[in-house]
Amino acid sequence: MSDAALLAAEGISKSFDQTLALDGVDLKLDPGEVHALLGENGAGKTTLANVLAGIYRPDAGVIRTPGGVVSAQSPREAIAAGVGMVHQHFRLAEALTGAENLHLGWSDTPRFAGPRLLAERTDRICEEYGLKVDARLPVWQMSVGERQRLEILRVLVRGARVLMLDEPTAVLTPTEVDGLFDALRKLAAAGRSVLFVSHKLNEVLEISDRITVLRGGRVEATRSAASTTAAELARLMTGHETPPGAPRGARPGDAAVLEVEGVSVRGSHGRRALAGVSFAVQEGEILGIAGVSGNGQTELAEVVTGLRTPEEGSVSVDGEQLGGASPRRFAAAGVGYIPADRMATALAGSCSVLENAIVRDYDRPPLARYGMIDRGAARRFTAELVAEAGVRGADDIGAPVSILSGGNQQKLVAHREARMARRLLVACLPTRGLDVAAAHAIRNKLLERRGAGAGVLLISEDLDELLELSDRVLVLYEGAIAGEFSAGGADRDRIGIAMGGGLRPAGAPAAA
Amino acid sequence: MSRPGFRLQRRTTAARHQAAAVKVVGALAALLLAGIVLQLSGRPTLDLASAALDYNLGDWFGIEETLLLAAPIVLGALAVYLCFRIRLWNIGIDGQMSMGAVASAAVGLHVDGPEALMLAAMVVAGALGGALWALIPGVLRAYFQINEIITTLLLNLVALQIVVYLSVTAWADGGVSLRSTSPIPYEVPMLSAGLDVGVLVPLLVAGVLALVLGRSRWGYETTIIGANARAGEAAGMSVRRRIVLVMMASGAIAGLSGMLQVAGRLHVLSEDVAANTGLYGFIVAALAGASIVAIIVVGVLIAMLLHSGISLATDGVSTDVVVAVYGLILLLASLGEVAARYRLIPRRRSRPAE
Repeated sequence: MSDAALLAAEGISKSFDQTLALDGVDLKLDPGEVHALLGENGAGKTTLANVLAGIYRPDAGVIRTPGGVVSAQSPREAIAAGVGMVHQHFRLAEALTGAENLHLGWSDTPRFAGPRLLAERTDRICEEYGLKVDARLPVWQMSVGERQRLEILRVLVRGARVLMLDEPTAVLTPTEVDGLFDALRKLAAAGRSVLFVSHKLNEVLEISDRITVLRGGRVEATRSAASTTAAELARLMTGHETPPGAPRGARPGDAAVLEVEGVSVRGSHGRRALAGVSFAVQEGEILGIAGVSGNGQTELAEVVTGLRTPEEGSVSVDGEQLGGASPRRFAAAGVGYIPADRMATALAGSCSVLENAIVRDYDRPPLARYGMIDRGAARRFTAELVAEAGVRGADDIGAPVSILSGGNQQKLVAHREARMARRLLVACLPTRGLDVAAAHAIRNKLLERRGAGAGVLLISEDLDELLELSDRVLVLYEGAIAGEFSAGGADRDRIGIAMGGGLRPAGAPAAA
Repeated sequence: MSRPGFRLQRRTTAARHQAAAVKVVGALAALLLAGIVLQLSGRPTLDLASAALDYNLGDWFGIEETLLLAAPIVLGALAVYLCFRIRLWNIGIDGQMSMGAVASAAVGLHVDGPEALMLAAMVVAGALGGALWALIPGVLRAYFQINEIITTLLLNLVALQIVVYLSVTAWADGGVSLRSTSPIPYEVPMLSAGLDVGVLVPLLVAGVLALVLGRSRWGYETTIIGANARAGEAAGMSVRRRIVLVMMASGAIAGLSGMLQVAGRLHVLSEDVAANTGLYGFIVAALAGASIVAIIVVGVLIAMLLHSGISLATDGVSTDVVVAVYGLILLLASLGEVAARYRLIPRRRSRPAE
């Protein structure tokens, strides 16, 4: 099995400025195997994949492929050596069709080709690889799963023998995940090799033949999936046993913190994003909102934090009608917001850690003083928040917040918002991309708000997390509530079906 | 394939002093380049340079002239800088200056009163005139997403026509000058024979700006909105209103500068009020980066260069040379700024020989 490895990396090291991201990593990919690369955030998984894909140049090390030694200097050379990558964030031209995206920048694209020829070629290619993509549909109208299949096809047609996927399931419904896994198994069976980058233990155990665990830029171990357990992998990933979950407090109270009634709103694209959504969050309750991204979650979060004005319906906090009020009014009512995209909505990247830390508190004592900001108080406040949130890399609170790692940025935002969320904390994908310890800290923070009598609206695609934390789970599908489940006896499969639109209740509006 | 030598690596952050050093090197290189061109075209560069220095610093008169030129340039740069803080490009300094001048000239020419009171009224009118002129692009940008670069630039031309109309027809002097109004009867007090109190105003404005932007809640909000408007909005700040207010504050600074021209150096309203101050101010703000102190220093240096150009015209050197040199400085300094984001590191062995 080992002689004919499709890719063998030896002693790969890579550092960014002072940080050693990869330290002498060895990795071998055999034909016919699905090989998982498992590790916490910051363990070096994505860096390694990027080195193999020719996006980063290694500082040291060799990469061998059947064609000889390559040290890919560019993605183009890597793909020529048969190594292709599907990125976590898709790199598709949204306005172009599936066929156009597939043929973009591909040397086999006929020089003079009309839309019909491209579409026909695409149909043939889809059939050949068994991956279904609508050649004639613009990408922006495709589901996430379809976009991913298109990305995979793009890599395969360019001759990839090694297919690398970075966190491919992060955005998929359970059904779509099953479809992806089938496709990956078929590709492996055809003699290719799949490198599956993930930090989700169960998935990795399900799909892979072998698992390489990275920790702190080094290979911790390589195991065959058959001979290991989730517990062992977790220990290898973190270096310690996983901490126990925080104890759940009392049952939710009776008073509603947040009441949403018949809210309809259009999204930024002008399409109807929410259609007559009604629900309430009680005091001391975590209400989970499940659903695949793009089904109205962002708009829902924006409506209940003042960032978007509902066209119909009402939003009230503690009985006070706030629909369409400014974010400042919502903040004054004690509503905090952890958005899904922290760099776009929660942080000003070029501003300092301090400037970002005080953004919810600068306008009241002790920080505010006669229209000025008390710099000493601001420094103390920031140091306290940074310590409480366990943010690493922020020794200099005057440094730009963008130099913190994603996980540490998220911790800063989560704790900042939880602090001011006296009544309601709206959290979108609050632990996405975080390592186990950081995610744990943030989950505890949500439970702590719940215990303190605040309501929590938890919007997530991660069913495990939703079921672990929520008292109730609502499923949002195409802007309407497609099911309500109590977390206690919730049926994962039924939630999964609802997320995919299979449980649309009578009377709910059809897709636009 | 593994070449020996050095390779470029991108830095994650460029240190401030490095960025500054690179800009200084760029500026010096631009001067050197201009000198070489002058030399090649048959002019003794070194003689010209020493003459230029002499014009600027040789006597008190030269220093006064330089400072008089520097004051509006620094004010313009401060106005541009204020807009930079919220990621707005105010190309309309000339127009706002002109309208400030118009407003203060209107007060000065048509209202009578004690000198001190009238000067105060002219200051208010000037700032208001500039602010209202900047209100137009501010509102268009904040509420209709119309690019402020275009609107401020085009409004300059409108403002210029208004000044020309008023100074040549409506408020024209009865025959003494064809191009300007009659003299404004109120004058900014003099510091010395050639300098009026106006040259101190840029320092005052710089101090206020440093305090407001660096220490106040208003400045903090402006900084956050400039860095990420959406994050500011999510935190409860009113982004649109702030865009309008910053634009107006910037216009007020320019308008004040216009008032200082009509009540100071020019004594009249004429189309010379703005005199490309916006362009020079923009160059200064771009070169100085995020430092108010640097704006003052660079502003004076740019004024020296401008004064040299005007003086050297008597030696047969076209004043266009100065504008060309500005362009070179800006170009090379910008290139330097990009270069500062990289560093040369020795090429390490990335793989063994085949």
